[in-house]
Amino acid sequence: MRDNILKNTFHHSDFSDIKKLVALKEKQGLKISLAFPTLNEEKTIGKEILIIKNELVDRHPLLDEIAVIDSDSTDATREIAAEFGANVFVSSEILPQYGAYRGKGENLWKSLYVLEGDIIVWIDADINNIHPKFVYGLLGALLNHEKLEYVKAFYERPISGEHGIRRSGGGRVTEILTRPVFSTFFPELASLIQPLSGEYAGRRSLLEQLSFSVGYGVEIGHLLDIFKTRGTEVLGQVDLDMRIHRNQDIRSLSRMSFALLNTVLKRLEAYGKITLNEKVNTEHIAINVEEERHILEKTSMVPLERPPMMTLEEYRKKFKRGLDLG
Amino acid sequence: MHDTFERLYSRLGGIRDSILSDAIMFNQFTSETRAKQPEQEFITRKLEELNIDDYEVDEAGNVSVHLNTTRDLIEKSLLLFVQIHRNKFSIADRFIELSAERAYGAGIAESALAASVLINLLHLLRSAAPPSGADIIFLFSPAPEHEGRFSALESFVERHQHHLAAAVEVNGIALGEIGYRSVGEYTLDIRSRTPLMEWSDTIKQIDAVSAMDVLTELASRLKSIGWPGKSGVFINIANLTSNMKLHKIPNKAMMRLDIMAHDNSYLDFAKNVVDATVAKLSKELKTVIEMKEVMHIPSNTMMENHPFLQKAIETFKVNNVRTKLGLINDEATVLLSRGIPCISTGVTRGEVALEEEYIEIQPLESGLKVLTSLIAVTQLYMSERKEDGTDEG
Repeated sequence: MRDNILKNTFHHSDFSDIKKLVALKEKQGLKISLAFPTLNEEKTIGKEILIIKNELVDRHPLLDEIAVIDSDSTDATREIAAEFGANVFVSSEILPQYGAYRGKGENLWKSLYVLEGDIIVWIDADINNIHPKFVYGLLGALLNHEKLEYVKAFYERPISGEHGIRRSGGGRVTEILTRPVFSTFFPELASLIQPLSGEYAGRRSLLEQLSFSVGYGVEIGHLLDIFKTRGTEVLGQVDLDMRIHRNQDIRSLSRMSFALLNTVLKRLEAYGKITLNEKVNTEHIAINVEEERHILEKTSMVPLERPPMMTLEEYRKKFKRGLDLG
Repeated sequence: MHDTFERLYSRLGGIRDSILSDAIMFNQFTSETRAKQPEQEFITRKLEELNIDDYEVDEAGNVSVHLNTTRDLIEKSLLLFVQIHRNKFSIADRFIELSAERAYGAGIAESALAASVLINLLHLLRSAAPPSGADIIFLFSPAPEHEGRFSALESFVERHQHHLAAAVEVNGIALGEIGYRSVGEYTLDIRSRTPLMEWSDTIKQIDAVSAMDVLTELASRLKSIGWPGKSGVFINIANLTSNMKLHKIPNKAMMRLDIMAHDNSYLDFAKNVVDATVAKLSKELKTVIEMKEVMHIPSNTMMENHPFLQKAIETFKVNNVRTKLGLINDEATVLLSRGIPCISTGVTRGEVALEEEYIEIQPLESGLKVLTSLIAVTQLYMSERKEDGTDEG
């Protein structure tokens, strides 16, 4: 039998007829929202909003709203985003009664409350080669395939650094941590080409039932929970050719891997795949060399998760939902 | 007709973001595609997306669209054109950064912005309210560097010259500068060949010179000529290179030289002086110096009191944009040399420098208004010519 995810693997050019997508959206009576989670992204956010809004709101009404959910940036991210037409929200000011954490997952979770769409698209705000295909590629899969509920992007990820762009590399955490973990415990998910990509779209009816890791673990947490509750039939992926973005140093990737590992372990235990006999450490430990001495650098990374939005009374009231966690 | 243009002015602010967006995409994505002519592909695809399907692509790579509401096929047209230069920068250098005031990045201030302005202005004129009586040709003409630089525009003008009453070249950042005259120019490739030498030979032949020595001596002599002050002659050493790596004595060298002058008689005079200097040096050093003419552009100009130029100056004044008369791109000589009045103008302000290239966003609306007004007054200029009989078709 063919792999479900590979069966639902597309190329963005399959959906480049944007007029057709708009017609499908109207026929299905859907509203579509796009949100950028941001933290100090003044170099790229203006361009991303300008291009996407011009092509997919003004010229072709595929999107109904574009929002920025910002984690208290200290640069001009919010001002630039507003200048080019996005609705700008400060993450900590959304549902303040539930407190505020800093992290991408936190912004995505809170975006569910302020966005109006039946389909939500999330795009990272650090893409240098932004193009409307990043949005219509993902939406095309959802609009053309009603069974799909959650679609991820994949692409070539050249490394961008001081010396220009190298064509190979990127996706290092995927190949070194995520794919081996999937291969070991969830082989059905190993055919996701870039499970950690920051660009994905989903139907609200699914997203509102998912927990959100506050930090780096949000994507892998989603995939494991969707797999557990709905299987792989609802997952799709779209080839967006190439994504050029700021490259992270190895220390950041190490912290990211630590957060992912925590999220995975939590799911493995919850789904009965393993039993942990003691609590795992929540401090990431790095080693620095200072004056020829090795110094330990500990960073507290307590894994925090937000509950499914559907469990919040405010949310159910706003979106007129009964409590049903599938 | 003027009522229609008044209505258009109110919609110009609305296309600011489309212009910026298309300019950024033009700049970035013509480097990502594997298309042979990525700029042309971008333009035609964009036109199709905007439901402008009646574009024509000729053998030279020109993309043109005719906006004709006069329904009169022999009516003279205004040519609104941009030169599309191939972007030399790598993908990594072509990403644009956008602040609330400026768009930064290599390439944005040149073809990317001009092409985007023309696409969006055409779309606005087509979709908003096509002015009755307007007859405008929008042209995107490829302009490779040096050899063949004019060929595409030349072939287009050759075919359409009897229908062209006037032309406006849209460029990026020279808002307020009205180009109306071109500098004359010769581009020459000069090659020198000398016998192959090793280091040991330099002891035996103390007077021996390398190919590079020959050309540096030539460059030095040419640069030290005292040209008459008012001639405006300038000798530009554009490139000087040899076939050898470090620590080797080059036996082949090449220099690319531009001779520029505002006046054709001075240009020809300067060319003769260069010829004579080359011949003299060749004789003195007993070596072969070959010279090949790569390009010759005679200087061309419109009279400063030309009614088209006067109307253009007036348009800027009415729109409160300070003007400065200046040089037009070399390519416009194709039109001027055929007696077709031609000016160039920018749509915003900015900078093109090696370290920083940017466009200012705020003046864009004002630049668009001037350009649209310019179209309106040109239509008026053309109808006046028709009425007073100066336009004889």
